[in-house]
Amino acid sequence: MASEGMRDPKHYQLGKTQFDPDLIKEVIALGGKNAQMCYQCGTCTASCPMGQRSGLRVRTVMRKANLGMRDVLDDPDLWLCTTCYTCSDRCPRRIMATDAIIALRNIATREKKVPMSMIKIMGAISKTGHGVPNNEANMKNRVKVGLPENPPTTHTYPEYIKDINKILEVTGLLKIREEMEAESQ
Amino acid sequence: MKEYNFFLGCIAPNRYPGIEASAVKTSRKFDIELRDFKGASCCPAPGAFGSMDVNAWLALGARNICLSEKEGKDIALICNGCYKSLFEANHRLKSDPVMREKVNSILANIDYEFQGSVEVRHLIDILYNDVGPEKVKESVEVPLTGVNVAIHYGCHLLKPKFDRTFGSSERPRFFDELVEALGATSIDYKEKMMCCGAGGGVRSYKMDLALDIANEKLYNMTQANADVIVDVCPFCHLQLDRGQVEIKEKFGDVYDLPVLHYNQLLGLAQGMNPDELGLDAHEISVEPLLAKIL
Repeated sequence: MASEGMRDPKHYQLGKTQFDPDLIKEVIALGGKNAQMCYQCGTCTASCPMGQRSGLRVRTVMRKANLGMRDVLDDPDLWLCTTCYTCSDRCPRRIMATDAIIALRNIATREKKVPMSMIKIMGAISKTGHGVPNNEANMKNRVKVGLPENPPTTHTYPEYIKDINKILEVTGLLKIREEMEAESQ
Repeated sequence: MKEYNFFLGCIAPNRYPGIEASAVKTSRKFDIELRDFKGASCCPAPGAFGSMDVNAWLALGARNICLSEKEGKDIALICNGCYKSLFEANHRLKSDPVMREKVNSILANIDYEFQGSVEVRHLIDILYNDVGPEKVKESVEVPLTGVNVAIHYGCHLLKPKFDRTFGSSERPRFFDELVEALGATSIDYKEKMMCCGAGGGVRSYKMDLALDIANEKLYNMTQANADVIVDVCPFCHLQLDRGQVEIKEKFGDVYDLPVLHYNQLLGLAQGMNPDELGLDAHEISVEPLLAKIL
């Protein structure tokens, strides 16, 4: 079928830019609901609080995802979305643009293009069960309001942390973290 | 009496313990017991963790839900980030068999299985829909008359609206009604529904930009004569409270606008002592507000 032939990525090369027709499928599979439906109206960009003060353009991200331009994965602005979901709630096509951005971040993570700030949060969860762990000053404040020094979470019951690390291991995140930490040394 | 497993998350117990303590104390007035939830962890942080791996995020969230399923207790929580992680994980795994199978295959490695047998509720939802503004009003001993409250709903409580039960994410009213039940005035301000700027991992990735959003919100609240910001999310709370110190250092803008979690405001209205609500642990002094009330 002619349409099948058109799906070959080599038909989509323009200059040095490769167009990967599978990118949008990956985005949808990872939760970017209706992402292929984008008709580029720009409601997302107009609604974006971060777009008003940075280079993040949600409409451009959606276009690049649909065209299969994988260079969107290298764009540092991809990580500026605060995931406020205003664009998604206002989208006339009911596209979850925020989830499409999250899906692109997932793909970028697998390619080890995730910012180290994210890896650090994973490290804290892996070590303590908490992304934001307790500290000594806070322990005193807890006691002052009648609470125990540590909450009854993994801080009091660290035996639960091994299950968290098992999930990180089987989903491949632990390996990504170890490799990126080693490379950043 | 209704009992919930109280899911704490990270920032309430580990940065603002007054939020945790006030939730427990104020709920008892309505015969709601928020009990210790043993072995719970980070929800995990939806913006940071979901951005790395959606399936790992769901599985880690489901681990927390499974712990509560084993005890047969519904979950109550006080953070919009935790709400996104646990409410969505619970909702998606209950309604999508393919997703459920995928996540259960991850959980099988730790001998857990998601059953779909409990509910995940934000405490503000319980207060509005189960207790109701009238009963909240009846619990007031110190009416907060004359206090101008700038409400910050926070994004993940309401959005995405198709995955929530609160209706409009543009002009919601329920939080306003709960604030007004305490005798205070909920003021309107420009871009009231705008994000605090902290989410999505942005606060730790590019703090200046995260704070720039908070700065705009704080300016708009001040222009509308706010006496206090009231939130229902410890991460927004941290961004708007500690953020004011950071904004002063980085941009030179000073607001000195106190920030309270709704449960802390409710505690004041119920006649509790500011110290037992942990208000002295806030970065921005709450004294100007207390002077107005007490």
